[in-house]
Formats: sequence, C-alpha cells, structure tokens
Amino acid sequence: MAASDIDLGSYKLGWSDTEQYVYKPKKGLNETVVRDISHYKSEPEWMTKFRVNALTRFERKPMLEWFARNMPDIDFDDIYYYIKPTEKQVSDWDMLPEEMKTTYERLGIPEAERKFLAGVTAQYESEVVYHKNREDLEALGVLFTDMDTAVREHPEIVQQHFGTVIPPGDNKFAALNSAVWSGGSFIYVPPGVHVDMPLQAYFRINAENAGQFERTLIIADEGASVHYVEGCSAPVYSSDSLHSAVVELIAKPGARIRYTTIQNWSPNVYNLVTKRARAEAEATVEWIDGNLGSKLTMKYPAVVLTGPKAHGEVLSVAYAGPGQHQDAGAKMTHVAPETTSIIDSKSISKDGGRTTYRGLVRVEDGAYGVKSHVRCDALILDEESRSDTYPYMEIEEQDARVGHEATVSKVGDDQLFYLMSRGLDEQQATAMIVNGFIEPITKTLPMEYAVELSRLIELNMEGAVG
Amino acid sequence: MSRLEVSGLRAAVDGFEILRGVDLEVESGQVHVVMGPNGSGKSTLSHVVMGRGDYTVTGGSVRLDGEELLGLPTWQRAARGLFLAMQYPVAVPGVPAGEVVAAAARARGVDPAVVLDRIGAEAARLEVRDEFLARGVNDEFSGGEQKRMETLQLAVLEPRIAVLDEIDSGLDVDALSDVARRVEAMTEEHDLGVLAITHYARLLDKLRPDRIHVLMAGRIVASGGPELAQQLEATGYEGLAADLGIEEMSLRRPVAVDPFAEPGF
Amino acid sequence: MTAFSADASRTLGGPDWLTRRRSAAAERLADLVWPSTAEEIWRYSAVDRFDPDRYAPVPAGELGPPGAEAVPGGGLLAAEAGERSGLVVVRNGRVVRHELDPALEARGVRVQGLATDTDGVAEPWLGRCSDASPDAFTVLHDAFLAGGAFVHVPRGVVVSAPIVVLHWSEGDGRATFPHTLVVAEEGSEVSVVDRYSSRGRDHLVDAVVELLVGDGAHVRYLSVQEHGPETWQVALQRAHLGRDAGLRASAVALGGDYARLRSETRLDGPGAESDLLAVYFGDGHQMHDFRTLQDHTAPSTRSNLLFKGAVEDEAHSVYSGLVRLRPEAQRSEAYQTNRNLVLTDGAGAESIPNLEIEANDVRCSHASTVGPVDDDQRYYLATRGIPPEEADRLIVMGFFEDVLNRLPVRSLVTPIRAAVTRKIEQRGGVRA
Repeated sequence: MAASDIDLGSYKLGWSDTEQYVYKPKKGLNETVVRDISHYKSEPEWMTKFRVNALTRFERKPMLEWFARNMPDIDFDDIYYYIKPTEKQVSDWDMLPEEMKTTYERLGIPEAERKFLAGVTAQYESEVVYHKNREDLEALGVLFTDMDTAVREHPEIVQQHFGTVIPPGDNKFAALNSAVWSGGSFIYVPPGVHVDMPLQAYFRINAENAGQFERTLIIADEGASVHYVEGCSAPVYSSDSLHSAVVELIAKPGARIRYTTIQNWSPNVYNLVTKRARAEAEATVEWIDGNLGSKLTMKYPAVVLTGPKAHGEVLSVAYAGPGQHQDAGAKMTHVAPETTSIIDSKSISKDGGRTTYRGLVRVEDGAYGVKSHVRCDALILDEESRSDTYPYMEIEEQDARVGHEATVSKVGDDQLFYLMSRGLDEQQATAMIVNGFIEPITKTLPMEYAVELSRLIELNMEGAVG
Repeated sequence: MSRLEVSGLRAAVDGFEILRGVDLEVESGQVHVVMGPNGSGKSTLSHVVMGRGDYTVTGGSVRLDGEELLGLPTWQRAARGLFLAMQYPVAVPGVPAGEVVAAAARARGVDPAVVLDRIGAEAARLEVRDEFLARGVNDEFSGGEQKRMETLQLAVLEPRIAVLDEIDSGLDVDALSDVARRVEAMTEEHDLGVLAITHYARLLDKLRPDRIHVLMAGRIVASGGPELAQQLEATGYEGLAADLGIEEMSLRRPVAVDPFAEPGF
Repeated sequence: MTAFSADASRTLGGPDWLTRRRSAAAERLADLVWPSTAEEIWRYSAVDRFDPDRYAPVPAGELGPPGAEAVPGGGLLAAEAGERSGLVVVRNGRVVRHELDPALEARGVRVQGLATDTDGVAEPWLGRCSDASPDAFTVLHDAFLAGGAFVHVPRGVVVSAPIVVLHWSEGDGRATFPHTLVVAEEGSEVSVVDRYSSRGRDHLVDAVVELLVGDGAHVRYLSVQEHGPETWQVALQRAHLGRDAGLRASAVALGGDYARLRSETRLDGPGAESDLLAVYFGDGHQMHDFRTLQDHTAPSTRSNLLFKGAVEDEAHSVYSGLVRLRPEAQRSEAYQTNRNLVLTDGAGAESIPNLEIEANDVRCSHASTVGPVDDDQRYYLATRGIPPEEADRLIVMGFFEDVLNRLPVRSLVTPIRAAVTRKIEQRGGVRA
C-alpha cells in the first residue's frame, strides 16, 4: 500500500518519496546477504568476519521471553536488510536527488545546520547520503564521519573500539545489528577538545518493510567533550519496518559525552536499540532520550561506570498514543568506587498507549561510595491507557546509597479546573500540564530541541483529542 | 574550671584549606561568640573542633583542659565534656531524645535514670511538647523545635564546653529568647563555657558575650569586647574588612567548568 | 523426589474431604517441575540450590493420629504468647492442641485442626486463596497437608484478644507443611498470630496461609518467623478481601537459612483496604526473600505496603513487589515502600518495586532504598558522646521502629523488639 493512501493521523512526517535506489536486494537474511553487504562496502576482512560471526549469534540466540511478548508478529524474513539509496555521499544538499532533498528540507535539517550545528550526518535507508563537518573542528583533530568511512579511513581506532562496549553476543538485536549494520556516525574527539556546538545525525527510513541498522561509535578522549543529537522519522505504512541500532560511547578519563535522541518514528516502526556507554575515571555520560514515535520501542540506554568518580545520567521522556508501546528505561552499572548516577524518567500514555519503564541499577562488590537515584513519573491521560514500572536494584556493596521513587497519576482535576478558569480550553490546559510535567527533562535540552519536543507532544495529543 | 584552647588550627576539605590558623580560648562560665560572613569557615570550625570525618586537620591543636582532642573520635570528645549544638540537627527516625541522652549517659558511665529524670523538667523549661519527646529526635521537627531539642539535650547532658553552631538560625523571637536564657543560666549555674557561632548580631543581645571574634577567610581577624559588635553593626562585614585592609572575606572552593553550560547546548 | 510419593501422601489420614484433596495434588507430584531462577518470580532466589532429595515428609507414625493431644497446656511457647482468646499448637504440620474461649465457642467461632474437621466446615474455604496462585511448592504442600490451623469467625462476631497459632517443626532432613486458614465472615473481626519455629539439620518448611476477609470484616494478622539456621522456608501468604474489608498483615522474619515469603493480597470488593508491613533482619549466610503482590481488582480500594529490612555479615535479602491496578480499579490508591539497611561489607540487598497500572484515576507511588547506616546520623549521635556501635544499634532499632510500632498484636511488640535487638547485638559474635 502506498503511503499516501493511509490516514496519517497525528503523525506529520509520514510522507514517502519515490524509490529510485542504486541497490535493493531481496528481503530476508542469510550469510549471503551479510557477505554481500560487506563486499559492497569493500570492507576489510576483519569486519566481514565480525559480521558473519554475529549472524551466527543472532540465529542461535533465542528471543527473550519479554521481548517476544512485546512483539508477537515480527517477521525477520519480511525485511530488507540493506538498501543503498544513492551512488555516493555528498556534502552539499543541492547534490541530493530532488525529492530526497525536499524531504530533508521539510524535516528542517539544512536550516538547523546553518543555525546551530557543528556538523550533520543524514542517513537515508542504509547509507549516509549527506555529511558535513565544520572545518575548524577538523583542524582540531575532531573526526566526524559516517561509520563506513571510518572503517576505511581510521581502521586502527575503529578496530580497537568497535564492539567493545556492546559485543555482538550481548543480545539478539545487537547481534542482528552487528551482522548487517550500515551507516551511523563515528566521532573521535582528541584529548582536551571541547566541541562547542552539537553534532547531529538524522535518520530517515523511506521504503516499506525496510530495516535500518546504523551503528554509532563516539569516543571522547581524556578531558574532551561532545554533544551528539539524533533525530529520526519514517513514512507511515501498513506493514512494519525495523530499526535496530547499536550505539557505543566511550568517555575516557575526565571526558564528557551528552547524547540526545528525539525519536519520532512512524507508528509502524519497531525500534529496538542497544545503547551503552563506558565512563572511565571522572568522566560523565548523559543520555537524553525522547521517545515519541514508533509502534514499539525497546531501549534502555546504559552507562557502565568503570572509573572512579564517573557519573552517568539518563533523562527520558516517553509518549505513547494509540497502538504504541514505549518500553524504555535505563541501566547503570557501577563497577568503580565513588561513581554516581541519576535516572529521571517521565512518561505519558494516552488513547490506549502503553508506557513501560524498565531499569536496572547494579552496584558491584567493591564499588564503595556509590550514589544512585532513580525517579520515574507516569501520567496516564485516560482509562484505556496503561503504565508499568519495573525498576531493578542489585546492590552487592555495603557502602552504596541507592534510591528509587515513582509515581503514577492522572492530570489533576484541580489543575485542569484552575487553568480552564483562566480561559484555556481542556486541550490547551492538558497540554500545559503535560509540558510542566516533562519540564525537568526539556530544560536540559538545547532550546531548539526543547521546543521541538514540546511541539511534538502537543501535536500527538491534539491529533488524538476527538 | 575547664578551658578549651584552639591554636593555629588549620583544616581542609578535598585538599582545599578552609581554616587557615584559628586561635581561641574559652573558659568555664565565659561566652565567646565567633561571627563571620558566609563562607568564612564558621561551621567548619565547629565541626573540626568536634572531629567530623569530612575534614582533614592540616595543623594546630584543640585542647580541653590540656588534653589534645585532635585524633580522638567525636564521641570521646563529647564524653570528655564537649557538646556541639548543630546548625542543622540530623533527624534520627525512631530514636527519641530520651534514648539519645540515656545512651550518652551510659557511655559516660552515668546512670541513665539520672538524665532521664531531668528531661521532664527541662522540657517544661524549654516548652518542648511531649509529642516531640516521643518522636524520633528532629524527625519532622520545625527549625525552632530542633533548636529547643538541641538545647534540651545540652541542659540534660551538662557538658563543660558547648559549641553552638548558629543556634539562632530558624528561630522566632520567643524561641530565641527561651534558648538563650537557658544557655545563659547554664553558664551561671553550671559554669558552662560557650563558643557560639553566628552570622547575625541578634544573638549577642541575648547571650551577652564576654568576647567577640570575627572570622574571615579562615582566620580570626579581630577580637574584642561587646564594642566590636557595635562596630560591626555600624560598618557591616565589608566595612570591617576594609578597615582592616582585608581583601578576601570568604573562601570559595574552585568549581569545575561545565562544558554544556553555554546556551548553545 | 522419591520420598514425596503419592503413597506417602496416602498414609496421612484425616477426614475424607481432606484425603481427596491430598490425593488430587499427589497425582501431580510425578510431573512436578521445580522452578528455577530463570523465572522472573524466582530471580535472585536460592531455588537453584533446592534439592528435594534432601528432604522427606514426616512419616504418619511420627506425626501421630489427627486429634491426639501431644502438648497438654501448649508448652513453653504458649506461655510466651500472652493474652489470647484461642490457641492452636501445630507440630510438624499436625495440630496437637487447640483451645478457645468458651464464650466465643458458644457464638460459633471455630479454632481447630483441619485434619479433625470431620464436618467439612473448612472444605469450601480451603485452597480458595492458594489455588488462585499455585506453584510447585503449593502442589507439594497440598499433597502433604497433614492438618494445620483453621480459624472461622461467623458473621458479625468480634474476637477481641488474638488467636495464637504456634508452628513447631523439627527433624533432620524433614519437610513439614504448616497451614493456617482464617475465614472472617461478613462484619466480623479477629486477630491471628502465626509463630513459626523450627530446628533440625536440613529442614524444609513449606507453609501456606490463607486469609479470607469477608465484606466489612477486619482481620489483623501477624506472622513471626524464627526458624533455626538450617531451615528452608518457602511460604505463600495470600489474602482475598471483600467489599469494605480491612486487613492489616505483618510479617517478621528473623530466622532460617533461606526463608521466602510470597505475600499476595487481592482487593476484590470496592472499599477494601489493606496495610502490609514487614520487618526482616538477616545475618550469617541467611537469605530473606519477599515477593509481594497488591492486586486491585475493584474500584475505590486502597493498599499500603511498608517492608523494612537489614542485612549484615554475608546475608542477602530480596524484595520484589508488584502493585497491579486493573482496569476496574478506578479511584484506587496503592503505595509501596521498601527500605533496606546494609550493615556490613559482604551483605547485599535486591529491591524491585514494580507497578502495572491499567487505570488512570488512581494514586500510586512507590519508593525503595538500599544503603548503609547514615553517616550524618552516626555523627549526630557521636556529638552527644555515643560510641559508634551503640549509635548503630540505636539507628537500626529506630529504623525498624515505625513498623514495630504498627504491628497489629500489641502484646508481641516487646518480645519482637527484643528479638531484633538480639540480632543486632550478636553482631560480630558467634553465628551458625
């Protein structure tokens, strides 16, 4: 079914472009597909082996019971694992095919680049079609490329770190990504360099039944800092697409990485992403995660705190509308002493949507002086919707202070009445309360993204209000 | 007769020195007041005298009747007759004040019944209601109730020297005068020596100190009689600092720069 | 699991209705699959160490015939039980003595053994709760249920002093199956205390407690577990509450090697309220394992849970709880709090407070903490002259005080507080 035949509902980014692809093999997954991808990319032998090895793991690994429960109808044979949309990557928007360029303009990416970004990567299906980095960053030794280019041009640093934070056998979807990955970003920030504006990647799926499996690796060397932002969207189709990324962050001693995601997939995308960071001594890693789109998201950004005094944070907002399930959360593993972490999660469910917080704080024996605090708040806007909270705390060290608190509530009648007595209608009043509810998260975002996130939530709620 | 001698006391937190050589002497029956602006090291002084673990003593000595206290754990300093009334008394849920003073008495080898007997009378004198005696000490107490309870314990335990850290903060006028009157009575009846630490002059009217010391940037920069308080009243800390030719009144620990603090982020 | 055979189950005797119930369960023994930590409800548990071959049921010959008076007067524990209106002594799962205030007996209150209930009064009630939430251990329990205590309070009757049930189990390599069934009919009130003790090497206590709280009825329930150091306990406590019913259920867990309590409350009637409390304290190599469920199936129901525990030495504790507000449970409130003190290096605690909320007009929150004794509290007490060990004792007792204070049977608060104090004072002492 063509995208235009479908009721887009409240989802505003659901148009599709005509397919004029350079390469689109058959659906399904086997060793030939994996070897073809590697061959097409002229990869070194070690990467081909890595992929084939990962495929075996994917095939061998059973679906976790609660994964299977969440997606009873996923069909791994009904997916295109690799689609090459253009002949080569460009660094000028005008050099993209017209329709593709229009899509990115409608998404506002070139404008954002002009205004407040230090570099942009745009991925369309399996490949990065546009990439540009601010020249002065290159002079400072900052490497920002798509992942495929990095494998070719920076083999030592890639081979040394690739798959070290999330090995292929970590979980079924990490194995899948490791076998068929394509695109994604690679960033290396040299010691002491502060990248003063965010670097952004935008991911667009266009084809029906497409799978997108980007792979991102960010390394902030000692004392360096970088902020990376990713956004995403896809057309609305009646059949499902699969997005399964792997993101690895490495914050060397004293480094700081902030990773912001505004996930706005169309409501037919399975979004199953593995994100994990390693924070070495006195490093800080922050995951800021907005989940608005997709049919099902299962994503638990993690920080493994391996060095003393490292700090991890996950701040997240999830919105689940009709037919959506946002199963998101966070994982903090405290391996080293005096490490600290904060998890702050806000979720909103409406019109039968379901939000789940699933998290783990683990303190290993010997990690003394650890402090961790988890807070989850859920807002359920009507009686069809639901919210679950599954926070795990595993504390193997005596001298650790770990706390968790959560609340579930509805929009208070008193609050609504108060705002409506000031002349707002119910929808405006609800939107205002919801915005206040997520404010602790949005205030940590750069202004442009905070506005975008609030606007998206309001749009979602509007579309749904009768 | 007891004497608390603080000499050349230096102390640091995480390698940053906050006390930079403090000298003080308090004798039984005397009231000394240490005043200073925020960040001058006042609270640090009280905790270092009491032996709180977060501070590293980098020099000097604290003696009670000639015995060096530095190196002794906090509870032993208290057992030797030192008492700290805290600016922010810590809540200990489920442990009422009676249990606290009884345990303190046992540790000193005093029959707990003796101190428990005194609680009723002290509560009446300080207008502490029964419900606050029944509850865990300081647990969901207002600022005023906390300070009354600190004073009650002080009166029941009868130390030789009491360090009162901002005993006047969070108190209304009535509570302040109840507390001050009780402390004053102890200096007269039991020869209590008092080292009171405060930011504001209003405590001075109530406590009528013998000596006033001004602490700035970790050092005593001026000492004198009540006339020093009048001078401070007139000039403020900044005026006094200017008169004394002091540039730095407060100590601020260096803070790490936040690379994402810029508006671009 | 040869010892737990259908043949062994058949020898236990008792009324026909009970024998039938046992043999129905015994038929399932051959196919019984023991759980593993791969199952969420057993995650973190010690069940992977469970070896059924180490235990055998107490032979019928040792148990004695149902109804035989084995402890005239009730023995030592009964003397400690304090003021009461009824007493049941259960030895190795078999009731060996029961008594009840004659005035209450006259009003139709029953306090007796299940195995001597020849009229089958208990039959329609037995298993109402436990059958709603079975696992391998409840099947085993049902197959070897030798007797157990039955408390039945008719409509509108108020029993003011508690009914005390003393469960005593012993024997090396023995498994016992204590059962307490409390039925409080509409508008009645009763307090019941279950006190468990055991000794013996490799002892297994597979216990079930069923609390049926009728419309407008109020039940106060307290279980105190002081098992010997080599006892494994796997217990299910489950309550069903009717309209406007009230339950205050408390658990005190001090003993055992591995001691698990699955505590489930279902609020079936509008206006039902439950208040669940627990105190646990593990030392040595003990493991205390709690799984709780607050299941709201009706509107305007309210539940509150406060579980507090401490671990020291190499001890571990698990708290895993679920609040479930079903779509019908509009206008309900549910609260869940778990707090853990970890007193020594080597001890550990797991805390997993879960929520599944399917109704929107609700108030629901949970909180949990794991941490050591607070340094600021220790310092505060030190400034009064209190040495660290004494300060810790005060802080730990203070930590438990809000739960101890709310335990439903006042006469037992002092002995329980003393038992907790003994646990703290043993610190660093000789332990099993």
